[in-house]
Amino acid sequence: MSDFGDRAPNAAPPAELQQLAGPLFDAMARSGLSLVVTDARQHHNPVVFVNAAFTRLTGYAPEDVIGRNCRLLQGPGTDRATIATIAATLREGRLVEADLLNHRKDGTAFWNKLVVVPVPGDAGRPAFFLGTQADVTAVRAPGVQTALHVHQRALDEVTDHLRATLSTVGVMASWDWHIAERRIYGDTRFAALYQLGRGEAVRGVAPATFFSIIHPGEEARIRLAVGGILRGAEVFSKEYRVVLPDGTTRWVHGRGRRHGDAEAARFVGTMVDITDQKRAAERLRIAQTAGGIGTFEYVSGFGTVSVSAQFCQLLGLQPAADLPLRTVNSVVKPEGGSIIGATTEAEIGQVSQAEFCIIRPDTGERRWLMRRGEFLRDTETSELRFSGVIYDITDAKRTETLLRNLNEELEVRVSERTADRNRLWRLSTDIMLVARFDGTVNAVNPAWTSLLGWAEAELVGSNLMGLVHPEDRASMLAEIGKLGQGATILRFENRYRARDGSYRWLSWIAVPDADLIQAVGRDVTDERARQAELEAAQEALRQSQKMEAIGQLTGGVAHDFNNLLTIIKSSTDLLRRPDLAEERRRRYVDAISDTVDRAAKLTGQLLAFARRQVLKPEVFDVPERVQALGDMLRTILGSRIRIVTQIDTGRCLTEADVTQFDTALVNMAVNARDAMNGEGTLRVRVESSPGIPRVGAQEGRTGTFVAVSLSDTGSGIATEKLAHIFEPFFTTKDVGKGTGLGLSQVYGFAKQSGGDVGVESEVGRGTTFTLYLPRVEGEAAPQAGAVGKIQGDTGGGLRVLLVEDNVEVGRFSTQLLQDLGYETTWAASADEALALLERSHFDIVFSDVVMPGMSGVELGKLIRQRHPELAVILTSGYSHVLAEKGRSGFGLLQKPYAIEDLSLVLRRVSQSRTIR
Amino acid sequence: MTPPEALLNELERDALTELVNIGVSRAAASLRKMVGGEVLLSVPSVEIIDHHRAIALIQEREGEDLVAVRQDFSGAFQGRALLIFPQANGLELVRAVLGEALPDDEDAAAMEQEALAETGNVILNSCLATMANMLERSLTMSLPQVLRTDGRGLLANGDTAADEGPVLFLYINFSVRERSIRGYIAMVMDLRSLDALKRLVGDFIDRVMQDEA
Repeated sequence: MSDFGDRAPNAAPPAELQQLAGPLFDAMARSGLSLVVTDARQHHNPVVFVNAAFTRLTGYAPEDVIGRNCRLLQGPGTDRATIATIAATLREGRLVEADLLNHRKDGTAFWNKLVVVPVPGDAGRPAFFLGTQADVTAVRAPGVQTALHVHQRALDEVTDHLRATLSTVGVMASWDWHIAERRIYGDTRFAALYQLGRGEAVRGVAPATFFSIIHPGEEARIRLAVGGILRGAEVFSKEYRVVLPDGTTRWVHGRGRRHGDAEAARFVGTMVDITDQKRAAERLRIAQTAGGIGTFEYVSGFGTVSVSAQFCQLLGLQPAADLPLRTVNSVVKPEGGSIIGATTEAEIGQVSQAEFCIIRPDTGERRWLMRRGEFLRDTETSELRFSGVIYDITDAKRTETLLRNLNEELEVRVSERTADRNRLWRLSTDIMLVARFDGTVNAVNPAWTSLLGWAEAELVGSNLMGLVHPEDRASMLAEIGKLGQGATILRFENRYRARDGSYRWLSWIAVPDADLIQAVGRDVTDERARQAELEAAQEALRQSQKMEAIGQLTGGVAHDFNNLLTIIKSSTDLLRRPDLAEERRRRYVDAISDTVDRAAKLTGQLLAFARRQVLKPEVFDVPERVQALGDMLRTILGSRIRIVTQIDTGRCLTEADVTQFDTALVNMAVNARDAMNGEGTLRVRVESSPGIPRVGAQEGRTGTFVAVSLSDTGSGIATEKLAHIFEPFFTTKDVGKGTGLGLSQVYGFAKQSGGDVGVESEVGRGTTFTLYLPRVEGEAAPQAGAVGKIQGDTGGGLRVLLVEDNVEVGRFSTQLLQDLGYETTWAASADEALALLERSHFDIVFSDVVMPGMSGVELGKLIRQRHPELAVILTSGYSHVLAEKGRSGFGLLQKPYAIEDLSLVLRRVSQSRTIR
Repeated sequence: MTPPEALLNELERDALTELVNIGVSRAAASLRKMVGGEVLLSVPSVEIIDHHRAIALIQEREGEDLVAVRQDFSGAFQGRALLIFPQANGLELVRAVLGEALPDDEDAAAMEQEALAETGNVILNSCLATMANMLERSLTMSLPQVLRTDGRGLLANGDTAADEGPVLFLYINFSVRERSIRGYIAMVMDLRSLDALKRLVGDFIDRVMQDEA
């Protein structure tokens, strides 16, 4: 070791050792303990330092031992095994402790209590061995064991301190600033922190280096503090930021002392990383600020309190770390007590909590604070500390005050209400009553006197039952029973006897209490009388309305009947004429018969409206039915109304009462006629519909329907009346002109049949009624005889080819068809018929089914191929034939047939041909 | 009027703190020699407050019974310097300085007075002399005077103009023979003196900043 050459070589320890071991080494070296240091990195482990105590113990001066091995202390009696153990333990870098017999320079032997500590260098390997020696020769003698232990303990402490110094966690660096020399010697961590080269810190750096890592924002402050030390100040203790080699900024706490005088003055210090503490403290501060919590710590007997910034803020004081106790307490309102009392009479662990109302000195504002603190024993001074927090509770207090005020206000209001109620009690014209469940009166209001004449004194204590009309007592008891079960009684009426003996009707509202009934009674005697009058008037009105309705109905019905009767009357009158032709006579008889049928229908309508008529639903083809009704409609509408029939669908079956259908159609036609005043155009249209559109407030429906619509060119119906037109007896016609039942029947029929009626109207343009009926699949029921009679010469000269193998039937049928007005040719077989068809023109083929040779069905098929324009009607007495072969779409007449049936089938065929 | 705390900026207050620190360190060294044991003195911070507040402050903090050593100074800046203790602490300081060998008769009072004056003189003289030295000016000091009164009595002197002036208030920690004693150094100056001090402190800061630059 030669790098401490500029200092006294034999007196000073190597700088590197000092730097590694820190200031504590100096203390040890100066203590009375014998100390030897060897350089562990040189192979012969030479001694590099001994202190004065060593020289005193062994007699060797530094110059005697420096550079030599410690072996020189050994002699013949030295235990070789112990030496080997020491060497081995040190190689492992561990502390070793042993008693060794050594020799002084003068040759005397002594027991050396040896403790050797390896001092690690840069690479973690021992740089030095630091050994202490103690003469324990005397101790080895019995009786001085105690002294030994004392020394042993002292030794252990020193050793522990040294080790602690070497490994103190968090110490970033330590330095030894030789002020006069203007050099700073640093340890390895100092070197690392300041990025000094190997050995540079040991050799010392210029003081300027010290400031090189200090954050620019702090430099002036630290320069001032260091400047103070350099100029004689003794204590250095500053927190500041340094910028590390990697660019990060850390908070450090630099602490140091100035030692020595004048030329020998040194500034020895350490730097400890306090970044984490700073952050924690900052977080705490933020938490306190955010939570509005101020902290304080007061040591009993002191005049000042340590406080946080938030504490000052809460009290409205200038921020300070310490505040005079008196200042703190002076913000409290007079007589408000002390936030922090100067008590010394508290127990450790005692918690104290109190509220204070303060006047902030800065704003003059009144605030409420909560102070909570705990008494603790100060560990440093063993004085009593009162430590705690304050926080603002003004809002909570305000709410509390508000609630209290509100409560008081409520009390005031309650008493006001009570006064109001008392007024009501006194002034009410309704009688008020508090009674027990047995009927005993507890209290009555003055209305009893004014209404019934009873004085309060007469009533209180008496039983109510005595006043109740004998007929009402039973019901009264029942009501009291309900009250007893907790029910409230509303508008219970009974009669009470007045003082003059008359009875008044009272309407009661009563509520039960725990054991009392509170009731209010209103005199309804007059009201009841008025009610009775009203009811009588209403009854009279209803009666007159009924009469009006009956009048309308009878008027309407009478009108229709009169028309019918007129026909019958004139027909019978005509029939009485002696010179009447048979044909005319028959016509008049027919007319009478028809009219009677219509009259029957009219009564049927009334019955249907009354829902007394049972509907007889059957499946029928609507277009066919509408066409069949064509003549009838024409008759009803009269000659000045043109009928345009439009069939936009093929077969379209529905299941409904056919008679009702006819009636509905007639009713709609009559309605149209009347709307047009007997003149205009009625369009009848039949079509298939995928649903029923929305009708008025009614939702639309989907499904397959057949729609029959009748559009007139009449006056139309106003929107406000549209909603009522289906109501029974609703009519816009004059009394006697109509029953008002027509559309009602249409509506009832449609609904009953699973359909509906729609109406669209425009005032002045006309109205369209549409009857929707659900479509069904299947076969139409035979329609024979359903409607119609022989209608005179309707044949219209159509040519019919009759195919009939039976001569008698053929002859009769020919006659019949001719009578019906058809031009008839008779063929006795299918072949003959085919031949005739080739030669002459026919409109209809009427053929028997079962015939020798070609059957009627086969014939029909051939005709359909050859003469598709020709209508074919089959007739058979054997339905099984048709069941087997099917009628293949041909019209069919079941034998035996009535004349009307024949006529109808032929007409239907001929009409459909016309339309086709 | 500028609030007193704004008369010096933060760095100037730091510098003043260090100046006093240097002073009390010198004082501590002197006391060590007197006492023959460990003495540590430090000044954590300086406050500049107005006169009334200073009186209120010291009374609030320490109550009525105060003992102080007063020395007037004049030169580049002038005023009064006060070393103030609560009565109990004053006695404690004397005990620390004299050791336990304090007579318990009435001589004790006289001795205490003497010891206080001496200790106060050491501290205040060191402080002011060091400050003057550091500020490269000279100050003349009067003889120490021991006062026992309350805050008003210490800081007020009837001179209304001076009453309005600011007070440099220094909290001082003593550690004498393992006894903790707290006290204050108050320097009462008029505004003109404070201005002069401020300028000198500024120069001092400039010099320190040149250290080892």
